[in-house]
Amino acid sequence: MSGLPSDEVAEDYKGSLEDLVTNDRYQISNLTLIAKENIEHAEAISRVLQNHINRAPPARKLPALYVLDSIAKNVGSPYTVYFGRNLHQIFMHAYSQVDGPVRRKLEEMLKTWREPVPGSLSPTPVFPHTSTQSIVDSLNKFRSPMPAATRQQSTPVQAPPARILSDPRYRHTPTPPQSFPQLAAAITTHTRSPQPQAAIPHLPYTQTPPLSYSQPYGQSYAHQANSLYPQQQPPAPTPQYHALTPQPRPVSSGGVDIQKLHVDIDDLTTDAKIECATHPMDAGARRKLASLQTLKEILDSGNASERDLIDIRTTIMQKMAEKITANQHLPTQTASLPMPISNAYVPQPPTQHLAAPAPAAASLFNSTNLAELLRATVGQQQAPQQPNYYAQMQQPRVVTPVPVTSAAPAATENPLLAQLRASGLLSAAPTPLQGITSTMPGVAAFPSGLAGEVTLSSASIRIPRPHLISSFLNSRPNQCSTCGKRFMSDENGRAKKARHLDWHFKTKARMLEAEKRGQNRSWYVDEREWIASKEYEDDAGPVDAIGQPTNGASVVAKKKAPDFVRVPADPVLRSLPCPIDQEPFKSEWSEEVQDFIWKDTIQVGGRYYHASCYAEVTKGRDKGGVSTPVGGIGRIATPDSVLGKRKAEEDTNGIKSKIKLEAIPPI
Amino acid sequence: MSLPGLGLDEPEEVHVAETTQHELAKEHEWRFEVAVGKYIQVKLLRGTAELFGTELVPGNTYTFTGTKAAIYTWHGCSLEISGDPLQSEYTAEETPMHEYVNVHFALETLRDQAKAAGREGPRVLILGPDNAGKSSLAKILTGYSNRSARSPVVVNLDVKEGVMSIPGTLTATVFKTMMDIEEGWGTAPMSGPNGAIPVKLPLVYFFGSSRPEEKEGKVYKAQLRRLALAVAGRLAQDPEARESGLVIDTPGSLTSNKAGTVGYEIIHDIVSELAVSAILCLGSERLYSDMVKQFDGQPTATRSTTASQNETISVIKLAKSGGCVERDEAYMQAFRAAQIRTYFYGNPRLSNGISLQPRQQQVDFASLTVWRRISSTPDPTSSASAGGKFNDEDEETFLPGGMVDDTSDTYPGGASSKVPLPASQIYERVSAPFATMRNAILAVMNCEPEAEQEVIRDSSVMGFLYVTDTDEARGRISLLSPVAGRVPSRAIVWAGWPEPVLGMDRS
Repeated sequence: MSGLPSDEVAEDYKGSLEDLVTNDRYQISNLTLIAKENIEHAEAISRVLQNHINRAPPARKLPALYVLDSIAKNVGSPYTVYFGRNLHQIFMHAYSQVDGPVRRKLEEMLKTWREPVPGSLSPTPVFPHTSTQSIVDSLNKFRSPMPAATRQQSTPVQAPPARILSDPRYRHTPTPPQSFPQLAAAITTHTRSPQPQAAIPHLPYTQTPPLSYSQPYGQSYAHQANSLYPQQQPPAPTPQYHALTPQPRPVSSGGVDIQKLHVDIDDLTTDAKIECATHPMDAGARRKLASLQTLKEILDSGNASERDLIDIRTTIMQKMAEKITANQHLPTQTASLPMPISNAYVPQPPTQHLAAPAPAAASLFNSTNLAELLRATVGQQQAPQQPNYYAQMQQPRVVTPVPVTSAAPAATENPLLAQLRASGLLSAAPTPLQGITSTMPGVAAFPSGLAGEVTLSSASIRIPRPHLISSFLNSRPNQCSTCGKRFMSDENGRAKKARHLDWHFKTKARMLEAEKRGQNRSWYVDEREWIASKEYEDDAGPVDAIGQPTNGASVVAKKKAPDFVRVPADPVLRSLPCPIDQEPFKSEWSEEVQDFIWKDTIQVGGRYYHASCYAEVTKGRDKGGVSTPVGGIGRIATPDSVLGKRKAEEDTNGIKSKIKLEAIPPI
Repeated sequence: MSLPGLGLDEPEEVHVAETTQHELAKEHEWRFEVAVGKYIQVKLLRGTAELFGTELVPGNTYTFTGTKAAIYTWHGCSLEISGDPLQSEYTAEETPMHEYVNVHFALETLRDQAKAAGREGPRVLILGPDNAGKSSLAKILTGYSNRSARSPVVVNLDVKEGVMSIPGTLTATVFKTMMDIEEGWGTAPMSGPNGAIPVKLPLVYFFGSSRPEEKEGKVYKAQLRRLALAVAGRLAQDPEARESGLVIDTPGSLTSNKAGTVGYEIIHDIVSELAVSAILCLGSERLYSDMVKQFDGQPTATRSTTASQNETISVIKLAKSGGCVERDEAYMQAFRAAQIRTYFYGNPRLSNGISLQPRQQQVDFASLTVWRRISSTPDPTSSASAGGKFNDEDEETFLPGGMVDDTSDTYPGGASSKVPLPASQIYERVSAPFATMRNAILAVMNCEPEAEQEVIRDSSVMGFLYVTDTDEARGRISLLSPVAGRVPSRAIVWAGWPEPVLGMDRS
């Protein structure tokens, strides 16, 4: 494992960190293991990790911090020393960017840092108090001004005197809590009055269980899994499924078993990952994985509402059902459960929605567009289950009549589904959904040409014209449920809407990718550019060519001047220099492409070259019979594993040196 | 003092998602005020509702912060509100929405005619005193035009509020796609894609003062002229924008007596430069009658020779909404600070919001060409704290500068600053950092660093920088820049407004 320069290890580590999107126990334990094995590169790794935590978007800070936590507890020194230096800055920075539930988790974690490593004999805390104390102080400061102003329930730490008097527990002055664990525990349980999340029962200090990482890493403090995570096995996939044969649930069944949901989602995620790994080119599988991860994120974020939970559960159950049926090669109708939308608003004349199939959650896992998916996968190896999968997907839509009451799609859209719809996952519903205004009285009774009757004069403006208003409001009944944009209900409008939804989907996909890189404001355009610019409508935007950025690169390269590519998403590819002149590529933001590009760059095989270098080298081949560097380059198609990446790097190194040799002109 | 560590056990700032529901009857309006730094979530449960002309989607959760706004319903709706406590909220039944929507219908007629004839659509100027609801009306008209599939150019001449940019700017933006409900107008482009709504490109000029009437309005008018030129260029090549016309929002101070005649002069300039065809007067009888006297029935300024000779200006009086509230200076200041913060950092707490990562860097001040706006920024040479040391350095870097001819008389003489600057001079070169620059906003202009004064003044803005720190001794300055990489070699203007914002160096 050694012998590699720290930089390379760091780069690998960075790549793996960037893949850490959710609270995935396996990834976290894996990252911990790597840190352990590469302890000689501790400085580089800790630096990378710290940078990552600082740079990560708020939603990913928590998993990243859990990695830090896990390393500190399981590997310990020298990592704790490196982390300790900047602990305050890292923690506070993250803390300031995340929302309530995550903050609570951070505080829980901080608490454990001030204690000995669970299960260890040594009494020293995870991090020395010198590092953590300042965080505690800052947190106190951070919180004290806010609540005092607004809410009485939340007691500021540095409470106003009256408050202190009223609560004798606050009068013990400078004793560090560690010497009085019981006291602290007592206070804990008392003051933390409304327990916000039942999932995290509060444990007094003294009872902190041995370090454990049960399903989502974050809840480890609550659940007593009994061992260190390296020992935990991936859940055995099959046995549970049969227990899960879905039943149409009573619509408003309240409690949702979150734990079970977690387990199920994890199972499905594992499967999806396997499928992704075995069929790397399968866009459908990847999308499925992404949507699972979204669901999981929502779940982990802890602020999903009851209804969301129900929806998630339904979805998961359907997915599980599909899986079972897929396993049995017996597609049945179980996958097409009506959605539980009880408390949803059904527009007065519900009959209007008869025709519109409900966006059954089952279609969640469909690709955006079946045809597109098919096209994408044509010519590629199909998974044995693949055809089955399609059959599955089509079934609920085509076969199953959906009960009327469960329709009313647009109106009842729940944010979660809307979000998924935004990601294009639900857009496959064949009939565009009807907006509710179409049910309003006085629809379309007036041709829109009547607008001519209002003139721009103070008198004319003052006369109310309800008929104009209703025709104005109803002229475009077909509403996008993500942004609210409206479309005509005719053929043309439907086509526009389809493009619009496509745009939403693509944007969503690119946003996920952009999140990794971190975004920043761009410079404003100057006058000339502004005058010449065209405001891209969503449906005709410059992004339309592509779903996936890497493929997109070549598409764009073909369409435009072929000397730039989109910056690849893969951090390894991104960091490799041009194999010919060894110069790194310079990223530039392109307004046209709406993405970062590398100018003067072409992609050959899996690898990027400066177009000019490449031209030179290939020219040389034409003349002097020097072989191109292209050979063997396809291998570089970056596998996900850390080690795999490293190999790829070495491969290119080999090629590089070869090129160098060849570049020497024969004398 | 409390026990160290005990803070962790504090009862959380309870997320009493105090959820309330409001049933709005038909044609009612729910008005609410959220303080800067507070967040509320609004969800449309059923019915239809719109926020300043842009529709809410049922079931979506919208997050609002630092705003005073109103959600209107034509057909009745039910809203669910949760989050931080509101500063104020009530339901109103009397609204001028019927008038406003009629204006839209009238404009639509004109747009249809313009389309048929290949002419320019209506150019609408909105006038009124402060807090009369001008910006809200501009949003409503823009929102309705979007709903009618138009793409008007929104020209913001109100320097107190930024549209797609920070305050202190004049902007023009084509609104072909929807406005962002949560962010007021929307946000300027970022390095990546932006949520559910396509980005819009603003053209930005930096006025850098809250008072358009400053210097007899010369600077304001000059920038206005430049902006009008660009807009005309855009309309010429963008048929959709051409037939949709303009929506022009203005600062309230133009109509007040304080500005004296300068305000009306500027209005005249706007009307002729942008060839305004309709003037909407909000909330002031006097203003309306003045405008009628001056403009009603007058032919519009024609910038092209083609057609539209017989077009005349209409002046209309509109009722002010009862929902307009006084926005005190403290609120406006916090609002401006929030706009600036959003420029650099974005606002990830909004549902379409994205966390942005500006770059902090320390640069050698000598590598920058910073111009300070005379009279609105403190003079480094006269400030006692800056000391004499600066004067010397001043001399050195001052001399080679290719300054405009009319300033050359400031060069000779040992202490350059003592010589009164010519009245026509707008900017003065700053050659060394000094402490008062801290927390200031600098504008990077789209022009050569040593360009002439008028060129700098009339240039559009490339972006803004924030001064996090100055190191006088070593002649260095720490900057927050929206984009990574070197600060572009352009003229940089320090105008002193929007006022310095504290603590922008942390997100």
